[in-house]
Amino acid sequence: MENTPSTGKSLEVLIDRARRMALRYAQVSPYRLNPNREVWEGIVRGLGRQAHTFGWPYCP
Amino acid sequence: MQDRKFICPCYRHQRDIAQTHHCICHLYVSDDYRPVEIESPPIREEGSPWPRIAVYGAYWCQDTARTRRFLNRHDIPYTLVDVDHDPQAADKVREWNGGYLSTPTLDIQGRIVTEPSDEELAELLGLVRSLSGTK
Repeated sequence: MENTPSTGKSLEVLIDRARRMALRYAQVSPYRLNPNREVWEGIVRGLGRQAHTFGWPYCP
Repeated sequence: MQDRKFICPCYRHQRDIAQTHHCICHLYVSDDYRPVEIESPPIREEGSPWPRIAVYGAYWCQDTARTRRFLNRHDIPYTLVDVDHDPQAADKVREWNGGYLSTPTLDIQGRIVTEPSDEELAELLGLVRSLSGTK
């Protein structure tokens, strides 16, 4: 997998980072993750792709 | 260029969750959140007046859900292609969209339309004319 020019990280690393961020935010905020795991995992993959393409996990 | 306010969790998620029980992408929700179920696509029947439509989308994508609800509401048959589970379809969408995995991307009998609004879709499918009785 090609690394992104802006972060030097692979897509898998960035998806994993987005997943950890989402889980952590759900712990420390008053909100929770979407109850459908397939939905929130899909969004997390989208965030990872954003980070891979643009350098930051922009809202997909 | 970095635009911090759109980095997840984005700047408007608290306001959105307060109003609708979910943020714009449905990643974060409140305890009162109730997911919206989407019906299966209408079945295409012989002699259907509608063009063949393939919706390349993702289960989690809210724009895909909106487009599906629009097509369902008008009883327009379509095929749903989940780009998360079909790498070849995902490649096709990237090819159509300059490298971006934009969802939904619609293939309306060979015409590629990316992230159309309901109004654009109504016009493309001739619904505006047929609803106004001028078709």
